[in-house]
Amino acid sequence: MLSTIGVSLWSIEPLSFNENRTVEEIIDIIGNLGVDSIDFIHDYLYCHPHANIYKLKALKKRTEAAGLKTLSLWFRTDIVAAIYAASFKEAIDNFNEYIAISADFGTKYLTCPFLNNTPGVSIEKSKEVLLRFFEHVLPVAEEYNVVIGHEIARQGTPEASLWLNNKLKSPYYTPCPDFEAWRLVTDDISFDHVEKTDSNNHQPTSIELFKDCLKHAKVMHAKLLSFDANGEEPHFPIAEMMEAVNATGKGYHFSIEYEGWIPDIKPELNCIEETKKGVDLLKRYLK
Amino acid sequence: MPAGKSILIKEGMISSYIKNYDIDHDGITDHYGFMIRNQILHPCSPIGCMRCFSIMVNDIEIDSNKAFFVLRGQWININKVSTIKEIFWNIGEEAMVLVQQQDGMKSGEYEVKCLITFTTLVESRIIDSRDIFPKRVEVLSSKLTVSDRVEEIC
Repeated sequence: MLSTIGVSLWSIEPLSFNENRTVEEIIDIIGNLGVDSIDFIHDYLYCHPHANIYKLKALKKRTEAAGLKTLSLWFRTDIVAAIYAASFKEAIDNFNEYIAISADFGTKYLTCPFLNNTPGVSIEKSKEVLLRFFEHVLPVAEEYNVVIGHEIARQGTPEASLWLNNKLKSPYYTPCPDFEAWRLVTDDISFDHVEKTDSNNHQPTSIELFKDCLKHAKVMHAKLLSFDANGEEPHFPIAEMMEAVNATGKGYHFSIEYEGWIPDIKPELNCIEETKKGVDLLKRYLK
Repeated sequence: MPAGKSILIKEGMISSYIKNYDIDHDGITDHYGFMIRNQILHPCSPIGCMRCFSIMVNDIEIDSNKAFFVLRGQWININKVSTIKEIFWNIGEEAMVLVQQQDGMKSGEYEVKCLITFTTLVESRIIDSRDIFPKRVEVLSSKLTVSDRVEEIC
């Protein structure tokens, strides 16, 4: 298989709430899922208010001891929102620190969300602001050799990220497609998102845009919500997306983000077993 | 960022008991309190992400000047939680809510509600000081019984 498969710590975050599991125990659990890597999310990184180098290095050792690589570090920062809530400088300073943390952790990739929910800021304005922002931080990303994956999971963001990619022309900025942007309209799961207080009028992004993203992406976020009796995930056009992936002849780093455990979907299911279904799903489709 | 409308897992977030405390160690009960566990989804923001925090006991709102969010021994008046950008509440970590009240709480069962208003700003180092982002209100509710022991906090 050309691609690699990792599991985001998000997939089994309920273990922290329901079973009091430590992040170290969760790493060991992921080590038994038959995957290549862990995708660390901000929730579990010892970097509040600033990095605890000793603890971060211990996390890295535990990951390696579990036989896993680190796929990426995901930081919970919507850049445009950060700029408008605070300042351009503060957003840059924080992001540069995230780049340094990622480099010190030994991971090639840093991902962060592109949400388009800043009040009064259109997607067009967001593009301009982000262009200016990345012009400042990409030299740092290059210096530290960390590739940024801009997680595109919301309507309009794949197009915007591709525009940025075209303008920046840097191997250190890449779109990071998240299956959520391509979610199909179904009756069983709503299209609400926690960062928006109003309802969404979601339309799935086209497969053509997915193919355009594949030309530049390195990391993919396989958002998975609920499996059917055959182990398929009917809320996303999985077959078409994986066909497009296989047609490129390239490998990608997939991070499984099983999210069916949230209170809005099926919190009663075992998140480890459901995440394993996601692993098996991707292994069936990827060449 | 998650789908849906839930930003926390409510079940089990508030402890099932209220304890009385003698904070100044003078032999007189002066506070009562309960534990609250961080079950916020993606809990990597400063506690200032809670833009408003209020407490009700048996549908009566507690005087916010006498109520405190206590995290790792750090006392923060619930009116001021929204100003904090450098204290982080870790995933699964327990904090205390302490209310100053002479003689604490009498024995019995009480319905306790925590009304917490969260920002929709998705950020982990910056708080929405100017409240430009919409907010979500979450209500945590639980029936708590008073423990017989009077505790001290070191």
